[in-house]
Amino acid sequence: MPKVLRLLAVLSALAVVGAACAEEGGGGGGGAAPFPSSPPAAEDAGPLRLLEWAGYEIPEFHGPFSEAYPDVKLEYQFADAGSSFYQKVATGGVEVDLAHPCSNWVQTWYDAGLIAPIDVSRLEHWSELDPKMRELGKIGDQYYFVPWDWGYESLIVNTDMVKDVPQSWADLWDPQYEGLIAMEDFSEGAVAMTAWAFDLPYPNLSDEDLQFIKDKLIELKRNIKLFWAGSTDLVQAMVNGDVAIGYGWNDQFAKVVDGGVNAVYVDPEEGRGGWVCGFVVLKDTPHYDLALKYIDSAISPEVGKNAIDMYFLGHSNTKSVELADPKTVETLGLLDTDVQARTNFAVPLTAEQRDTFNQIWSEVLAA
Amino acid sequence: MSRRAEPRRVGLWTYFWLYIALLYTPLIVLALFSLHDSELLSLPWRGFSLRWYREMLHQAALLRSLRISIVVAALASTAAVILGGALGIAVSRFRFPGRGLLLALALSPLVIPYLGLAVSLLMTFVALGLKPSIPTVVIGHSVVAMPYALLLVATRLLGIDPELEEAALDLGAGWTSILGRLYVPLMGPALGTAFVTAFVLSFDELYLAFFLSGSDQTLPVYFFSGLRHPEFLPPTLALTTLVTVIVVSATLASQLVAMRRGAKAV
Amino acid sequence: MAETRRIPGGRRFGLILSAAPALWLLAFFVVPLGILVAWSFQPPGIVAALRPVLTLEAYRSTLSAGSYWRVLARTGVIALTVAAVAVALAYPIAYALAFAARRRRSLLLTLALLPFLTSYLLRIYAWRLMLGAKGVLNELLQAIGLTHGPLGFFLYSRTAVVLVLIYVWVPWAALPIFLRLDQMDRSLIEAADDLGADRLRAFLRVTLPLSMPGVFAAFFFVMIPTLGDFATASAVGGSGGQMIGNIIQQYLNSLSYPSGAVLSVLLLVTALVAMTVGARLSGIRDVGDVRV
Repeated sequence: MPKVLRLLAVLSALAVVGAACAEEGGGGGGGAAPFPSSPPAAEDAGPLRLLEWAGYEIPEFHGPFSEAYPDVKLEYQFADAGSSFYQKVATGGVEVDLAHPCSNWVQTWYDAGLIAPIDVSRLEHWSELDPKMRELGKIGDQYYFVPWDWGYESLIVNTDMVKDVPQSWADLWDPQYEGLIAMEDFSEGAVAMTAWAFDLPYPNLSDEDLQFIKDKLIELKRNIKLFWAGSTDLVQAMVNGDVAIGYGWNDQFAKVVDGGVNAVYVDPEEGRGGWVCGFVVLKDTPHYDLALKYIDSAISPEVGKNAIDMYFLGHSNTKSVELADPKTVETLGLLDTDVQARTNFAVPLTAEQRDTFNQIWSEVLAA
Repeated sequence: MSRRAEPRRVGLWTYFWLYIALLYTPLIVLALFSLHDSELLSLPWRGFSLRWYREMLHQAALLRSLRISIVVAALASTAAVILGGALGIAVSRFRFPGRGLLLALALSPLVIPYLGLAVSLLMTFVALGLKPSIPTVVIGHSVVAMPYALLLVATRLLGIDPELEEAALDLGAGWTSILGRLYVPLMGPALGTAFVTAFVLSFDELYLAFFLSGSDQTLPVYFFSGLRHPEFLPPTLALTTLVTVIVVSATLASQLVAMRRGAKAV
Repeated sequence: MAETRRIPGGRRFGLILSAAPALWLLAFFVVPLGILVAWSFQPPGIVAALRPVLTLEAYRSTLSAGSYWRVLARTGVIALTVAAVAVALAYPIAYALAFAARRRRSLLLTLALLPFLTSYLLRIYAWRLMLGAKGVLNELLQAIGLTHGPLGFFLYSRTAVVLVLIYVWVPWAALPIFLRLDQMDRSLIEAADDLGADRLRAFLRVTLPLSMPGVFAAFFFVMIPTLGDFATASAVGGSGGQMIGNIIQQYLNSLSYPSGAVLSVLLLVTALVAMTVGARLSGIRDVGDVRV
């Protein structure tokens, strides 16, 4: 059909034009980068623009900042996944001063030349933060990421529906759990979990390792009833009895228990997974000092208490647990230092690694 | 008018009302849960409460997203109906070079996963230096709503006798007046339906809006972004129920009035 | 059909009318699509910007994996099923509306369309509630005694996706059928009556064939968007109900644009083929038929 050919010709021509006109992404900086200059916070009228998770814009999360700078307007935009955060900023659609991605993405943001080093000397509460989490944001000699919230990734098990509670990640493959599992739609988590279960060195996996993991995950599919993407999905599914085992975070565990389910949060032999999210400052921000003040407020124990009590999140400031509701702290396991020590917190991934895992995951989903 | 007795068609109407019942059941379920005294959309029932309606009034972001959704839908529908309608007339009544290709092209948005188009559009806007905002969503929605307007108009105009245009031309009418006095009135119901269809499409659309609305979130985007926290669901639910009740009542009321007036006129 | 006649000035008017829509489509549809195609020729991986490179690597690695063909097939089956059932269920609705007393008609039409002013996501949530293990449907079945325990396949399954999509699409499908029936010449049916045909005969021989363009339009109205759906599948599809749209979204969300672009192109081609085949079968040259 000549018409189709004509259409294809037009599209190809436009593709070439599009490619020629499109901008190149910036490369990552090397060596000790200077801190962005900006007026001191006291003289900065703002507004401060943030890219946040929906629900985190509440006043309880920036109380000290708003008290100190009542005239500075806070403008929030939202994203709902790590890739979303990156994509919104990287493709230039969204311009903000601060963003709230997770530790596994920091390297990618850095490589794309998006973020500025953090002058931790200006952060009053820096020394109060968990030392291991602080290091997650270190690239070279400087810090590019300030941890804020954290949590575990493990198995929430409904003990009414499942008598034989899995004790390790590898147990998930047991045929008795067919159709009972809710798995997070998260390639890195699935690949990591499989790697731990079968003793493979995540994230530096060889091609054979990756093929093995892919086959194992496809095998696991028959035990998986659904993939969840939003937190609500998992909590609802467990409360409704549609699934008995959920791969989820400790805050979801607290909510499931709240929903009336008799559940336990497993501490697998290989160790739980863990996530840490926090703040990065964008390189081109004209409000650097103000941004740091915001971060400082966010990592203060008063705000940490709210994060724990209201949203069941772990907080990076070690003093926050002292202020928070003890029952919540206990349910979430925030004080179990031995569990924490064995937890496999999310490590930064390079873009190639992430892409490989995504490829695997997509094939698993499609299979 | 036919003097034949109009057949009662009991079976057909039973089916129709059954369909309506099924259509509205999830809505009634949702309305019930908007009154639920708990964050979770599940049984056991924990009692009635109006707290979500109170809560909803305090959520500035939620209300703002509603306003934005309405504005975007109105603008996008207008664009879609004008552009899609014009094209519908053109392809169904005339022959001109490139017609087949244009038709295929115009119908293609029906076939694109909106997510792919959304990302493509975003990158295009960025290259042009435009930030995601209300106009960008409107553009995205107008593109995907256009084919519906096109199809509705074209389907409507297809069955119409070509002698009508010939007669008009013989009487010396120019094309503009044929457009205004022949096509538009004939298409009337189709245009109305096209506008409603486009409005509804845009109001409820998620993916294009998610990438193209930036900080001016539409209601579906707001809702979708808030899924990580169950606390968002009930106030959104309350708002949606309220909007639905208002719209349903208003529309049905206006229809009843029109009916009564129509009956009097006849 | 009447032979097409040339109306003076018709061609030019047609061009004028289609100028603005054509430009709009070019700028906001063709060009962005061109960019999408450009992406599919990029080396696979996570890239933040388009580079002037051209390679088939993304196509090769994506198309050689069996899983993607499987999910495409699954998607096709779902789309065909949903379209066929939705159209069949919608036809009587359209018929009832078209032959209803004129006074009540717009009221009824409005009634049938109103649910769409609620959020699609919320309605899916309601279905999740109703179809789940503790949901209304299961409770009902157990109360009646048809089942002894909750049936798991109603939710988070391919069945669930089909059911919910049918529910969503039936009202949409009714529209084009209704419009077609509405503008039909009633005297033809009366003529059939006069000639002694019973109502069923009149329907099968007169009404149904004449309404076919509307039926086919309805079929495509449903099938084509369903091919690209992923919200329903992600909400109620579970691990067995994934559609190709989910995979594309997956790729785009994780910024693997080249691979996502490849699958999008695949989806596009599939839909194009489906449309062409369908158009041939139905003679929807009608929409193309020119009366000038």
